[in-house]
Amino acid sequence: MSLDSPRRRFEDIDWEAKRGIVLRRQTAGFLTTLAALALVFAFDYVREAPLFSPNPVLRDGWDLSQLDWLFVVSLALFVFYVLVPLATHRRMTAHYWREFRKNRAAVVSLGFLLLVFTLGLVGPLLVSKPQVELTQSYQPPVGLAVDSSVPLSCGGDVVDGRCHGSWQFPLGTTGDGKDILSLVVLGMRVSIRIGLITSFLIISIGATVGTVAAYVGGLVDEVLMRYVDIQQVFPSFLLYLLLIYLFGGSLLMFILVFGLLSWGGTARLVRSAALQRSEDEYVEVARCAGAGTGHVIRRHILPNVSGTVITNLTLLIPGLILFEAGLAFLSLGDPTIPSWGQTIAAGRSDLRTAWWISTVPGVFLFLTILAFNFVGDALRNALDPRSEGQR
Amino acid sequence: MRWYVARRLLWAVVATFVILSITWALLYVTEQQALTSIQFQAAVSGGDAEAARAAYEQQRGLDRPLWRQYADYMTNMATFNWGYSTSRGQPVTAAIADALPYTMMYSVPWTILTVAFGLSIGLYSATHQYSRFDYAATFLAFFGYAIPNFWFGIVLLVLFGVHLDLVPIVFDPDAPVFSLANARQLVLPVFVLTTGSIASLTRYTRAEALEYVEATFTKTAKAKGVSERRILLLHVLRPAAVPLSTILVADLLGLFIASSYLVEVVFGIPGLGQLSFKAIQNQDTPLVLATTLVGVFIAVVGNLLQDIAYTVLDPRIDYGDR
Amino acid sequence: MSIDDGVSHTLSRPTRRGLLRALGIGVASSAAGCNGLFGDGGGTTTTQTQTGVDTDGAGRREPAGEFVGVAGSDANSLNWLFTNDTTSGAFVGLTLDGAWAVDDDQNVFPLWAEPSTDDGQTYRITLRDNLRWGGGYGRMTAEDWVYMIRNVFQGEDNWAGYTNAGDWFRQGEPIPVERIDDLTFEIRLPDVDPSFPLKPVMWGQSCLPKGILETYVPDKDTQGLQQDEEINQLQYTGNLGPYTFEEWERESQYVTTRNDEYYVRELDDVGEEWRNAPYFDSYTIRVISEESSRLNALREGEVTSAGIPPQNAREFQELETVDVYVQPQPFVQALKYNMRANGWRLFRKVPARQAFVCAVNKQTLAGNLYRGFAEPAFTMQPRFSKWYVEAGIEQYRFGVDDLYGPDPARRRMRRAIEGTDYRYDGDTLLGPDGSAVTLSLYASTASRTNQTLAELVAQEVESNLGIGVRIETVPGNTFQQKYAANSPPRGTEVPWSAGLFNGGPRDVSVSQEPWDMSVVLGFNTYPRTPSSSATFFRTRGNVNYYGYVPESNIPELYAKASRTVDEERRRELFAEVFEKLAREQPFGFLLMPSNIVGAQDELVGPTETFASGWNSQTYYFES
Repeated sequence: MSLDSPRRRFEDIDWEAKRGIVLRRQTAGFLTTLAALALVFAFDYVREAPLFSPNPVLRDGWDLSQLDWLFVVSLALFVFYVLVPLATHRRMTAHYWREFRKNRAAVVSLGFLLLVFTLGLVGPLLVSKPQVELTQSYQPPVGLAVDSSVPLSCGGDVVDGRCHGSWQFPLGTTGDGKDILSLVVLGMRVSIRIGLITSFLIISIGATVGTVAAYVGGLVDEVLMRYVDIQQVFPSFLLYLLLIYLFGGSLLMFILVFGLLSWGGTARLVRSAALQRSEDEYVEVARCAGAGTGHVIRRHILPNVSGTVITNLTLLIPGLILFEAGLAFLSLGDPTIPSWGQTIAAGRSDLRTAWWISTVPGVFLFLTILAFNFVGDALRNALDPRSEGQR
Repeated sequence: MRWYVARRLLWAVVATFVILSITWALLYVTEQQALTSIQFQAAVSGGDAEAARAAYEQQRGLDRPLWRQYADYMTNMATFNWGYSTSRGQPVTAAIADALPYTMMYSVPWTILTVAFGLSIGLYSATHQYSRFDYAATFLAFFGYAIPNFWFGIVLLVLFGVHLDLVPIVFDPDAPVFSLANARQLVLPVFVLTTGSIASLTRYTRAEALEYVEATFTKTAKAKGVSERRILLLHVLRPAAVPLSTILVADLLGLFIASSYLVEVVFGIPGLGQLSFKAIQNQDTPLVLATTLVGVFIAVVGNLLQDIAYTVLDPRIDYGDR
Repeated sequence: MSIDDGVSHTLSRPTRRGLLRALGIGVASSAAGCNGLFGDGGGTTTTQTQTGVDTDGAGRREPAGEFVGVAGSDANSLNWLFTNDTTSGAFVGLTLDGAWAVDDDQNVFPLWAEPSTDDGQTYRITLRDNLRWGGGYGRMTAEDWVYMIRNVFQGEDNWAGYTNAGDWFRQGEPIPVERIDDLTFEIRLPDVDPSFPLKPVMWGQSCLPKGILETYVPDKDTQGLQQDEEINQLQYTGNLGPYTFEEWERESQYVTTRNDEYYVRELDDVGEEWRNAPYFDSYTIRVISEESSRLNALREGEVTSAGIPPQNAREFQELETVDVYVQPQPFVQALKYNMRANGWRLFRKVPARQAFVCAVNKQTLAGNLYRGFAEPAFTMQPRFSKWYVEAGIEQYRFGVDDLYGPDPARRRMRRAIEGTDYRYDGDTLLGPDGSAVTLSLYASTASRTNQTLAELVAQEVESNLGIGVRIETVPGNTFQQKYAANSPPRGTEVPWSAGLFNGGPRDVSVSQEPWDMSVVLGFNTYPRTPSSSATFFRTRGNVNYYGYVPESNIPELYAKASRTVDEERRRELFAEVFEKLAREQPFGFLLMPSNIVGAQDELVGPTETFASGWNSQTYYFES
């Protein structure tokens, strides 16, 4: 319950005010952005050529795919419903930050995640898609060396029958000759897509269902929870496999299938948290004052449950990223997508000789997951009022 | 309350049935895939693609009317008459019975170790918050979770199997279950799996226990001079056991059948994970339905038990009037 | 969808599956780990746990050691009537020799039986007299064979669901098979076919005792036949194979032990090396799906032999404990052009097809992608085949030396676009609508090598021909279903149809999804029986999913050659066929990769020939 706007006194209430649809600035901003995006989308749809043709900045141009559009919408949601509230409610934000800062590992992790996010957003537009170039395959990273028989030809110096890495490929190349640095940056993009889009699918559906079920109760609750039951135990992996057989693997399918089928856990969590909160006094008061169900859910229950949701999310996202890597390992992903998992999978037969192919993206994957864990832990401590007054 | 339990149990059966039906429908739609490949081979060898299709359908009973196939499968599942697996050349029950022991060999130690370590580390961290052990343990738990299991497994196998020659590279299915040889080849898979799953249990345990560590009654006990061990056991563990057991119940249900396909592929263990995966790949309907049935039923019952435990132990939530 | 690592191999002891597999999902070879028990086909490796060969005073070799092979994927079943995969064939083949084998010189080596013919049309098959079934079914007689062929293979409506029933029918009619006496039966082909013994119809063919079959034949009990325990436990194998079945632990290992009664030891018309065959106490096949584990096991000596991917070959060649064998194999990797209505029209012109292969440097491809373990291919026959004649093909060596590069490629392309609305704008080819031409190229998701091949081809075409290429990946099964299978649009009449993969004339019958080029499927060039490849090049061939219509008399030449008994004349005819194919390039022939197999150095037996493994019963360990 953040009350940063100046307190309104009883005398200030205008009983004659017209009852219209009151749009908070937040929602208004979001809807405007959505409308603008819709226009651009329609424009792009009608036009045959890519939206951005190759230019000095975007080396390969940029033809927005469905995935890109979903991503942009998620980004807009993120900006308006996470960043903007954080910016407007400054006191609360400062308080969270103070709590968060106590955990140093989490601060470092947050920095790392921001770096990944920025690189993933901007990097792929500046780095061109890696080409298959077998003559430069199996180059070691700079500073390391490998036996000369492994690569076809050595880009760096050959000393004592060992090929050394060079700055041309600072992180080395794969068995196909693709630059691992490019692959890592492109992999960041894939990871943040998975993270952002699925998290918004999961939050929006899961939190809504959870709070509605908790607050409304009765038959609605029963039906919703039974559906969640089925969805949670439904073998979504099986569904994904069979869809792959029908349509071939793609990142969009992965995100849709698992985003639309994984919100069950969140819904249950939210529901139990909301169940606790809906017995609280301020909800009673709101109801007495005449607030409708929607209003109570939106303004009183949801914000207080958001802590649980966010923490849950910071654990769900790394799980999904890991899962995608696992699927790539099993050759069930989309081989044209340069995700970290694909690169790890491609290099696993060469672990004895060209170990960097699997290890470098593996390390990035590991660090990202680790970062999410630390951040999630610290967020839980910061956002959960129960742990206030620690230390 | 009893009425609620009975209703949910009935619901477990219905949910399993619904999921099985959807699974069957999905398999039916994708069955066409394998068929085309066989037809192609027939065409290439100068044979008749039509005849190949007829043969294939006849073998798998696909030439019966749709509803008939569906009804047959559902009744068979219910009566435990699970049929014959064409991709394994043995009855489905035999296939599961073959694969189950291998899964149990790693899932039992995995579950036990996870619970043991998860609980103890979580409790210790809660009572010694912000100590070095707390940080180290948390870091280790996170480390295990963050490392991709499959990659970790392969790296360890190369390290210990090839370079150090301490473990065999190829899984030997003939090793007696409780022998040293078997232990040697199971050490790595169990290690990889355990390190991956401790984190969430640790975190949850710590969070729950913390609530009671900070509680006023604990502080009172400490002020009174009660021994640390007594505090831990009576004032922290006992109330924390309430929400913890809800998680444990669900975890322990998977004691025997929790399987990880990734680990099985990397280490070559012929367990349940790869059984169900290969079944899907080969579109072996009876086997897929049977493995789905087992997995789904246990999961649904697990959910139910978790809900019941929660309500029994936390009187604030009452299912009576829902 | 098979999880075979995208490789199809021929087996050393060919079960028809291995050889008839004209399709390779993904790539013809290069991935190891599939079967290829004895080296042929690669993938299975065997390891030996003991060394030492003992010979007694008479110089007879004694069995010693345990052979451990690997397979990348497990078999589906031991009931060979219903299985199609190479692993099943390998498992069963250890316990059943099959009718006869074919040696390095493409001569028939009689195992259970010997074929003979006077006119190349009627074949008399004579069984040996010391073949005995297990499980109390007595001697193997001609009656067992004839009963099986007539009632199961040629069963009414194929009630048994036998996977290779088509082999026993010609033009829709069952091939007549007659029992002559106890140990002889006759196969009466409708046409003259001198290469019949080399075809996987009787070559490597197994048999079942009549005693088992007659419980299921009268009632046409498919399920019973499929689930019969004696068949599934290989209890009927008697003295018919080098090993007897011991146990099968699914997805883990398949164990057989030396057969003390192996019939070959009683024979006197075979060479010394067969006297005391086999020379291993047991033969085990381990199933290891992870390639790195297979290679590690080979390095550590935990398996006797395994297939090796090209990029690891050097490393194993330098290892002292492992011998590496590079074996030619018959699958060709080619660029398929879609000449149907939903493909690219220009592919119907020969110069256009030639232009594409001129644009790709086959030597660089072989050197870089396969590390030199592949040969450029120019026609539908490998160089090692006895039917390959260099002379006629010389002028059609597209993609190497002078016939590679932007000049030869564009020259031909310009000839192809004469009279059309296509034109070259500088370096780029523009279509009739004035925009740059972009074509699609499909590769298999199952094989990285396949995808890399596609990417390399795409790069070469883009730079040498100025045509954009868009790469798409699909699973093998999906490709067959949506891109290969074609049919006329609903309601349209077609004058002829040749089945699911050639639903009619190329202007009418199209696949569900459009495509321009693909490398997904690999084709067998049939170096032993080249007439088998005729089906790819007939307008009404039932695998002609790409819509090829020959410009010269290729199908007629094929038919004539397969009927000619005189070998010299046959060779001339085939030479002419392959020369014409080299010119017309119905597919863009690219490469023929070799099979690379590694085996512990104690193993003696595998060779670097195409037929290596045909006499695997004679392999042994040298101390």
